[in-house]
Order: sequence, then C-alpha cells, then structure tokens
Amino acid sequence: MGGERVLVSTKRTALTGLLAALALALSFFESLLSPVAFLPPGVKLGLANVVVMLALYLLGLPYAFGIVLARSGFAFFLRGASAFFISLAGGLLSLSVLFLFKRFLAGRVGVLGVSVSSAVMHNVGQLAAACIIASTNLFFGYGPPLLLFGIGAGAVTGLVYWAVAPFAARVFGRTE
Amino acid sequence: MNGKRLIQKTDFLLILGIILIAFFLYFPKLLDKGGISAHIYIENMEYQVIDLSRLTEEQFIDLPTDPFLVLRAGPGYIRVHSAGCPDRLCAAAGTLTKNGDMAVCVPARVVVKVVSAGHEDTFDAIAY
Repeated sequence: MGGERVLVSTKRTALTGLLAALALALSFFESLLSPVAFLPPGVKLGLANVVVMLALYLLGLPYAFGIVLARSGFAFFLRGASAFFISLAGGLLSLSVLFLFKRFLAGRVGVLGVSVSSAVMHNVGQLAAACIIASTNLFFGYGPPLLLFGIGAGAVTGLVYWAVAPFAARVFGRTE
Repeated sequence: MNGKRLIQKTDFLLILGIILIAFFLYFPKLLDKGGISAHIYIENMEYQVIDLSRLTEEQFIDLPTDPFLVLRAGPGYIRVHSAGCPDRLCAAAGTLTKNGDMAVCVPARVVVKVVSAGHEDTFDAIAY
C-alpha cells in the first residue's frame, strides 16, 4: 500500500518536472518568435500557459501549481528576485482564474473565454507585482495595452489548447 | 470547458468586459491630454500648483522666501524671473516647458517642477 503511494507520488513528481520543462522550452521558443511576428518587446504569447491549462484540466491542480512554481524558480535563477516575484504573481493569478473557472463555471465558458481570462489575469498579476516593486502606479499607462494584448495572446493559446488537448488527453491517460 | 466547446456566449461577454475595462483605464488619459502644471515647493512642502495650460496671460509669483524669488508663469511655461541669491543658478535653468523640467534655488530652498498630466512619475525605462 505504502509503496504504491510512493510510486504514484514519484510518477507525479516526474510528470510535473516534464511538463515544467515543456513550459520552459515553450517560453524560450516564443522569445525567439516575437521579433519575427513584429510584436512589441515584452509582449509574449504565453504558450507555457497551454501547458498549465493542460495540467490543470487533465491532471489536476497540484501539477499545474508545480509548473507555475518551477517557472518562477527558473526566472529567479536566471533573472533575479524581481523577475521571480513578477513571474509568480502572474502565474498564481492566472492559475487561480483557471481553477475558479474549472470549479464554478465548467461547461458554461468555452476554451477561448477561459484562456483569454487567464492570459489577461497573468498580465494583471505581473503588472501589479511590477507596480509594487517600482512602487508606482503603472496601471493607467500599461494597463490598457496589456489587457488588449492579453486578449489576443489568450485567443491564440486557447486555439493551441483546443487543438492539442485531445492528443494530450490520450498521452496523459496512458501515463496515469 | 468540459464540453470541449471552443467558444460560447459567455466568452464574448468576458472579452467585451475586458475591452471595456481597458477603455476605462485609458479614459482619464484622453481627458487630460497635453495639460501641464507647475509645482512649486518651498522647503520640501508644496506651496502652489499652477495649471500652466490654462493660463492666458503672463503672471508673476512672489515667493515669501529669503532671499526673494519671483517666478514668471505664462501659457505653457514658467521661469524664474528674478532672484535675490548671489549665483542665480535657478534663473540659469531657463524657461521650463516640458514634463520633468526643473529649477532649483538652494539658498531660498525652492523647487519648481513641471509635470504633465498623466505623467506624475516618468521613467526613462524599467527593465526586469
């Protein structure tokens, strides 16, 4: 009994690590992408959010939470404490929104609505953290463009999720 | 989401709501565009704020400091008109017209700062 539980938890840890690596790789990939797509600097698609959504919807909250933590930890080691704080604020806020949608509005909101809300809240969380770090109110200057870019980015990640989810469900189904 | 539908009615409402919020955040900026004001500080305390964009004619402001300091403000600008201090560095700062322009008189402990609406704090760049 106990041994089986250890096995399950080992599997979980390994799978979370794999997904976190996938999220990080996607973040890197899209940083190569943004100059090509003529996006303003700093605007990213947030493809890693696809991985977080897959983890939450197909595997459960702990996996998604683990990925968010891993991403922030990675930001800490590569770009320092303020990057960690900003990444964590964005990640946790967008994950909270995803979780609330899953919990209370399942079936009433489509994939696009969920991913757009989550992308927008990711930006809001990051902006709030940036405001606290710079101790300035940046909401009026940066808020509107971030919200609008969030809608666009959320729509793209939603489409990617929609396309990938059936395959991921099969893969995860075999794993668990 | 469990229904695996890409988009539903609620989604449009959500996106519309976000666009509305973005618009309301942007709205104050539209109203105050181009307005600049001069903030006058004496001994680090705000003494007077003059809305420079609403001025129609030149006016002189006598500051109750020792050495004396007279400012001259007009539509879109403010400058130190005359000063009782020996070096007159504040007058050398010239005419202040842009956000962030500043004239400082150390002997009178006066700071005059031009601020444009919606830019109360400006950063050249913030990088993370």
